[in-house]
Amino acid sequence: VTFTHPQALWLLALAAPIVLAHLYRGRVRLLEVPALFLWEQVMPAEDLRHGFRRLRHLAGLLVALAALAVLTSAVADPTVKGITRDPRRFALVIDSSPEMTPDRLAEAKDRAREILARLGRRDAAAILDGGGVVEPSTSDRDRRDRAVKRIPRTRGALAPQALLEEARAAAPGAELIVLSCRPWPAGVPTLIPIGAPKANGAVVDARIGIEAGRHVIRASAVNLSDAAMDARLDVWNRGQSLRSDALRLAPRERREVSYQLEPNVTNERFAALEVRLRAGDPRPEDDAAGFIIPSTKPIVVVLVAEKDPDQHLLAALDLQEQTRVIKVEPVVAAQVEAVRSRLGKSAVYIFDRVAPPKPLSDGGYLIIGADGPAARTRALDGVKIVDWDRDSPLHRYVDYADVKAGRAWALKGDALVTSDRGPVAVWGRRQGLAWIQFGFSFGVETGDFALTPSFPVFLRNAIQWLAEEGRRAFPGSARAGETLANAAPLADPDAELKVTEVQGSATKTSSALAPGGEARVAVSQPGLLKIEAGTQVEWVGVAGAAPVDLSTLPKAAGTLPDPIPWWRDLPWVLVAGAIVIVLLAIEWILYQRGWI
Amino acid sequence: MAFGPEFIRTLDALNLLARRLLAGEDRADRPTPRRGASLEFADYRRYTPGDEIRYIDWNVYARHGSLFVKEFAAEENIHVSITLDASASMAYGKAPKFEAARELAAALGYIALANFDSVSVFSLAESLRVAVRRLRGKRSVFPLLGALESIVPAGKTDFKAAFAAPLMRIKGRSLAILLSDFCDPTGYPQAIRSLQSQGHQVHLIHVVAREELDPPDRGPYKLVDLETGARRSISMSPATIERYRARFRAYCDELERFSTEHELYYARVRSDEPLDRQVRDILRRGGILERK
Repeated sequence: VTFTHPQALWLLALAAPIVLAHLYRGRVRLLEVPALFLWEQVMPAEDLRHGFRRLRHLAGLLVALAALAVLTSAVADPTVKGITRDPRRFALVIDSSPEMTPDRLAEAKDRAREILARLGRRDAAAILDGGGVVEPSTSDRDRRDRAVKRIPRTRGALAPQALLEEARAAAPGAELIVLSCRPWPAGVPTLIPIGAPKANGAVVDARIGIEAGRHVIRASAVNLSDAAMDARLDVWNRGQSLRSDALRLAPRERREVSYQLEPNVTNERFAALEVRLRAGDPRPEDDAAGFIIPSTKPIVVVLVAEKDPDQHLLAALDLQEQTRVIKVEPVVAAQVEAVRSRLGKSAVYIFDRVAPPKPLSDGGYLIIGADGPAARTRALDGVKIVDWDRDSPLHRYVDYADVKAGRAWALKGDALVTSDRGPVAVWGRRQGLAWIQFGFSFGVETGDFALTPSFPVFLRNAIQWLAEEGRRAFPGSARAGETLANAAPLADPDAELKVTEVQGSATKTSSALAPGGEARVAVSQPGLLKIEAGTQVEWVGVAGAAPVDLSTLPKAAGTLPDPIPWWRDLPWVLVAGAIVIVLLAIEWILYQRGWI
Repeated sequence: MAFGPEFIRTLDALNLLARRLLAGEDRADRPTPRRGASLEFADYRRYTPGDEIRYIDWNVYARHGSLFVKEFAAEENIHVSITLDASASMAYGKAPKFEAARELAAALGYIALANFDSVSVFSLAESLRVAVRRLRGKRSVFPLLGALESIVPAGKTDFKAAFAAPLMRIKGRSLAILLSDFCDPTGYPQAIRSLQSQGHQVHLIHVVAREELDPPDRGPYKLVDLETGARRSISMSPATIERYRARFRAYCDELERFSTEHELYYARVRSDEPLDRQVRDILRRGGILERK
């Protein structure tokens, strides 16, 4: 026997005063009466038998002690092996991945509620969804039900294995129950399949590449059902049909398709491509893929210098210009405003030892060895680079090891490159604006960065980032079922977001809020997404959710927890309370009847 | 034992009620079966020589031609015999029943003496003993109180033995007042019938103690009979106590029913109540006391 609250056993000490009170109350007292004849007529016959009377008197004590014992056990909450039921522990994983359509999620929630209803009062269960723990292990039924109710569709997308590990961590030793429509790795004790097999066609493995100087889309159209499927495969560019082919897919056929883009599609401006399989199946979330392809037009790079630009910088830019990736336009500082009004915000500006005009407006800016948006704190000499932000897209294939910066200004801001005496290059961005500021120039008199092989690579990375990705608030690609969040601050934090879902020629517009400048845009369908925030417009290519071959629905595994009979789930406190009341009632009846 | 002036005034205004015509020894205010010299006309009878001429009713003579003389009722006192139960059971109670009975006996005795009746006091236990005999007049109050003070409760109640002989050979018939707790259920009927057969008019005053009505609550007790010393063990429970109360009420009712059946006057007083209240209760109940 073990007790949940063993300290309650001290209540048994009350037995001593009960016994003493019993002995005191039970002592025989002399009572003088005028005559016995009236008493003899009302005396129960048993009173005349001394031994029996003592026994009955003892019964009163036994009832009181039994009531005390039951009361103590009610507070101490005993666990008796073989008699009381050990509390069970479960971790309920409700798959909320994009594959779980609303009806499947609703079915999963219903099944989850059924399972939770089988649990006893002391059983505990943790609730998890695709994003992790929703409710830690608890025996509170209301909290569990609320947790199941509030599971949103497509919250997070943890891999099954990771989710299982999180479930085991959330409820160690608990029995895992997974409700899902997709296959799960081995080792799930109880797997409850959700959903029923339905015909499904999908676009899978869609990708875009450049072959022989032209963009090529490659994708696979698959029929994941057991019947032949008639479908059409359409290619769209921002609502304009580029191609439409009829496809007859045999059962379980996977057919590779490719499409070579005409150069004019991306010559002048970016392309927003959509590959869509019109299969007429009930699962549209895996029927399309969207891509954003930047314009193939060279990026205009305006090199601003006081007089002559740095020769090494110029040489590196020339090299890129020869590959027609960029087009360099050197200007002197005095002409910057005129050039800006001519080229607009599409160009990337490099200020070589010249400070840009303040404040910086929309566009991409690389400021080298001059004052800029970041404050210069102190001048340094003999600076050596010791660290750099290796996760930055600017540092792809870039290595600053043993690079000497020479004379430099220490800068304040998000460090991009750090010297032995503080950050010497910082960067920043918001929607429509991206900038990089170096506290040292690239001249070779005191430093050697321009002489390293990383220098042209960095320049290419920087120009690409400043021209495209750096100015975006939202990622350029997403997957159906995700929720898009802005990675960079919005240009206008108070602006209402206008979200347009583009599917072929059809559009659906909705609005979203960005409280505190943090936008959350739910992506439900694959294709294209156009997000407008004030004057800023961003396109997002949305890939379809992972298709589900419904013939591979998980096979049910394990058994559901046994339901607990109501009488076995009664709280011991209630049972004990009832027993005490019955005992007290018995004592009262015995007392009233003169038995004790 | 002392009465206050107010209480004495109350007693002076009372008289003991005797429904039967009882003959006394001295002239007083109570009507008797005898012929006497009171102002109350009783009957006619034929004139016989020697009769007082002034009692001849000449109107009757004028009508019938025969001589008749008028007879008048005699007015005498009566004899009041007060029997005080002095058994050990009367000592029961926080306010002992005996004390209450003794004070009540004194009050009744005073009323009798104040009305020119003669008073005898007897103590009752295993036998009947004379405490004082034939006191007359208010001056006899102090001998009466002295006699009552001298009585001490002891012994067993035995109505049969006590009333086996005529009530101490009292001449004539008396108003017999019996103050007792009647803890002899088999003895008192025979004794009272015996008194009635001797021509006494009997008043019963049942004295009970509060503790008899409300016995102690719950627990094992050894009951001790005050008169016999016999012992009985009992577990007091609400049920037992309730049964006892019912039985006690039934016993009182039996006594009252017996009184009604035998044309006795019955009153029950509680020993813890003040004497004036007891007297008022007896007066209100009627049959024993009356206002003059």
